[in-house]
Amino acid sequence: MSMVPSVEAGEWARKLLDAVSDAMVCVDRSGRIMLANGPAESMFGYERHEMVGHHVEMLVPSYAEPLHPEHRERYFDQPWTRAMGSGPDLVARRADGSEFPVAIGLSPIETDEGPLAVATVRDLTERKKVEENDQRAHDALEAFSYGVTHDLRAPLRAIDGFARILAEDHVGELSPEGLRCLDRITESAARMGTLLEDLLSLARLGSREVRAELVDPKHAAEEAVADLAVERAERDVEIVVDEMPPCLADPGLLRVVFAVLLSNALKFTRDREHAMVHVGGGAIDGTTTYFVRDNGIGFDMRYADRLFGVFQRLHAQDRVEGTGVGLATARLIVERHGGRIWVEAEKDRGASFFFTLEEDIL
Amino acid sequence: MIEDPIEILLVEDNLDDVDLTLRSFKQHHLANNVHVVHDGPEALEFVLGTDPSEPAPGGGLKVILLDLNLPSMSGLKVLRTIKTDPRTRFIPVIVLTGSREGPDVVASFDLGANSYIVKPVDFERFSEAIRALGAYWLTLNQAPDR
Repeated sequence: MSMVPSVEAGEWARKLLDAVSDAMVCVDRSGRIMLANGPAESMFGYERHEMVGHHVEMLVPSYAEPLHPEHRERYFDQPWTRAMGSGPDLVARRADGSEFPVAIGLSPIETDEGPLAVATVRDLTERKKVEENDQRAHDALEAFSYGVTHDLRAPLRAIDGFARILAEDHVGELSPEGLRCLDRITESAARMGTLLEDLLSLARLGSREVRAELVDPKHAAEEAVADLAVERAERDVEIVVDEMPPCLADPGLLRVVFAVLLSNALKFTRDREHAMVHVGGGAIDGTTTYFVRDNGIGFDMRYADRLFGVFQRLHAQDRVEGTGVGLATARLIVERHGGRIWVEAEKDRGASFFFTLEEDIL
Repeated sequence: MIEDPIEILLVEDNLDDVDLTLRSFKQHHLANNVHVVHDGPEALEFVLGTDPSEPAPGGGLKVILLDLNLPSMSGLKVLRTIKTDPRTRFIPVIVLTGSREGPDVVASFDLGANSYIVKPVDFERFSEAIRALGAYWLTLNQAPDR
């Protein structure tokens, strides 16, 4: 940065303060506002001159006014840098008297006029609204799913129950075809039961919190592979898991993504004598991308989008089972991590599922 | 003629579930004396009667199967009333629920339920659960002398 003459430096600093996006208010030990920037004017609804020289308590809700001087004193006795968003939720007051949620960062500075506290204030109103809406939507979805699956289970139980009773009590009166019909009724009821469970899991996953930490995807993938022992029994399946770059993710949810993609790969390779599945990841166009690739039956890419919907199928029922809610679940999880999931496939030449998990998780 | 005392009370409003449950009882030879009611008020009247100073008409019950999902008065309210009345609080109550995830399951244990069964979609499993119930509560379990 070039040397700027002190008069212009002052101008420059003032312009800088007004150009930042957060409100900034400087307060001295006695609580007097020494400086307020442009965003502070719009946030609080005062002109600068209405704030500077006045007490900072004017920006604080009336119920907090009595205690605020004490907090100030304590801060100046032991000034420290407090990060925005740490600590309990804070509330500020506008010129019109309305209150709004804020996050406040504090930093002490030494000046010729003595120590000052620089407060950076961010208006959280919009964010809180979005969070509340999200929470409400999730709660509604969970309540709905719980109620719906509960209500749907009852008649399903009746279908299964009475079909069996028919088969047991009236076996003499029914032909083999008749008994076979009853078998199919029972099978369908069982399948519907599973679909209901899957739907409920999907709804719950949607409302579950994403607890992100640094994760080694290889570990998550290997855990998912271990769970597939039953599906792999009596089949020639080779699964290779590469070393992969680490990521920020919820370990349990990441494992679910791998479990879904691996289970899918096993389904699509059912007709192969030697099924091969490859799990790995690396940088593609600068973003860490993970993949699960198989040598299975593949599919026509024209219908690729349908795969991620709920209960979609791309092959006749007897060739490859539908993926149920698996891929919809995987997509939900990946998107909640801020990432993307997609697939590339060719008929008879296998499929590759790719996904990213962006680093900034909300 | 002396009537056999009612041993089992089934509180269930879903008629299909009533039939399936009764059939399971019959299959496992537990059907001796089952009385069915379809809602909370009926259940309380059957068990507690109308006069708290009289012995409870349902005091001789060996077990109550209580569906949590009842119309109007909730299954939890029925449970609480039976378990807080000194005349009937020792009667084993087994709670029937559509899902083990419900908050009601925990609440029912808080109120003194002795056990719970999740009503499965699979009838075989349901039948087996009823059989196990009957075997334990009707034969093995010893109630305290009232």
